[in-house]
Amino acid sequence: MPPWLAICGTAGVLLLVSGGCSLPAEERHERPLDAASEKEAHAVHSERLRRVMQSLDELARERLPQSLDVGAMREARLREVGRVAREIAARAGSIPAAAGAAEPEMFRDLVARTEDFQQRALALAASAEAGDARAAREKARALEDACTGCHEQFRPAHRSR
Amino acid sequence: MRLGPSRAPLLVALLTAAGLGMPQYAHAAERSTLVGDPSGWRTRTADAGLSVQLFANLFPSWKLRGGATDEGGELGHSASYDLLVHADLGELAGMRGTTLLLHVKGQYDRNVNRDVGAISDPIDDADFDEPIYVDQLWAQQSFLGGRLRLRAGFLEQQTVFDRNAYANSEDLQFLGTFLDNGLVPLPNGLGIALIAAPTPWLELALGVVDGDNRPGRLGFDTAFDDVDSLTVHAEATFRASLRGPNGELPGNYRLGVYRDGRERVRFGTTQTRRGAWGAYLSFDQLVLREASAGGSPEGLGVFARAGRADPDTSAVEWLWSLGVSYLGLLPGRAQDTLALGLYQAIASDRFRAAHDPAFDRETGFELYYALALRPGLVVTPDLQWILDPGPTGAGRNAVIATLRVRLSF
Repeated sequence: MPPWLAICGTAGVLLLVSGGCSLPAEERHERPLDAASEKEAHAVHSERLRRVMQSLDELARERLPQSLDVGAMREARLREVGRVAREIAARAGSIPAAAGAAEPEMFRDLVARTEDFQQRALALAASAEAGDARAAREKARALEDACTGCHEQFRPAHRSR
Repeated sequence: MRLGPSRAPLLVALLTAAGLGMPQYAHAAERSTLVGDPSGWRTRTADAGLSVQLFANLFPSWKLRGGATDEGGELGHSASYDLLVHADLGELAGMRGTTLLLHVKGQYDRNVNRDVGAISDPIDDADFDEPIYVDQLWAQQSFLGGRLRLRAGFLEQQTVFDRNAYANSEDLQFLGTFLDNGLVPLPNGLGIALIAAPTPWLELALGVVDGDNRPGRLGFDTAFDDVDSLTVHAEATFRASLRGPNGELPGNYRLGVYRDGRERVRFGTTQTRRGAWGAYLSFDQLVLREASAGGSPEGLGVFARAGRADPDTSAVEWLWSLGVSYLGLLPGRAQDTLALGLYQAIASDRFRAAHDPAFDRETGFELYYALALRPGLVVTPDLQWILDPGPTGAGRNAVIATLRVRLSF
């Protein structure tokens, strides 16, 4: 293949998509959240974290040239995991009020679960920021357990209202 | 330039000792390059899903004795560069699960390969002079949360099949062809690959690529002319995750079969044929993880390969290789790698009968120590000893010393 053809073709594709590159990832993914409710923001951050973790897993399995330094790409994803996890932790405090738990006992339980959730999110952020993908996966699983436990406990009641 | 064979181990030892005397940079700088991260450009583009990497590899070598030519020393040299652009279009443009890879490459000279005359080139990637060519250009779409991936375009099948964590790259690991890959034909050309991971411990790959393409060619003239010229691979990879005292010990066990679409001459006849079949095994396993390794794979890994090719058309019918690789063996040298590999290529009886009954098998040993001297600079003293280099019985035991220099920009 003539190199000029491949280089021009790839440059063209990248130029076409460079609109998405004109803003940092944070702004591209988080700007729509400015006007979102806490519930929406929580859902979007969770989905974003799930996707980035999935992308990290895919990268670990990917069959790429041995010459390619996959470590640099992994670190970029881990930075994003750390950033989103910190965002989740920062907004965790608003979950009990946003969930609208009516009974005091249920509210106290929700607050306790939220604090645990927040700590797990911060632990994930710390592992990701340290560049430790293996620990980040473990912490992400722990965070997911907290998500599942809370949603199983409170979502059915929330939905029934 | 002539160097006595007895000086080879001394030369390698001196170079290694000189490198070991230099302080190693901090582990956090592992991903750094010679040019660093000017104005945060590299970090920003990586965060946006775009990775641009440039590498140069220099291979000055000395054939210290033996081989196909006289007993004297021969000096050789080859070089290559790789420009890789990897784009995650999910991050760049919201095209979730789509990635794009462009790999532009150049290489020159044959180094000491002809002087040694072995079936396994002691310096892989010293095949021809081509200042610039496209090695890979493909797009990949993943489905089902990444469990299914479809790749199409101009492929390098070495990227997909017969991989190995410790023996798969002449730029980073062993220099010899038969330690990098086995007998598996891995052409570059237009093709597709389908990779499925139904469970976390199993991955299946199927690839079809034009077997007739030549370097520097687009391949449209050969890819669609004849179904018979297609090279097909099917491979199953079993991922093992053993539990060691210091954490997970990852391993990969591969079993593959292939159909070679290239036109090959049948030994002892003037006939040619396509569609030879072969099979291979390749495994790698981390067996010892260092306590301080954290998330990095510091420790001892082992690998092995075995394969069988069509004895009617391949000079080597059986090939096996094995070895060890230790990342961070010496205190304070967490990013250095010491590795030792061994291969044996056993001749096909039909090739021997048709060409040279004196050629029975070729055996090679390779030892290297990759010194990570500073971010973006790895210098690797490498020593190879090839016994009975084929494909005739005339080749004499050869010793080759190489000083590989890898620059990352």
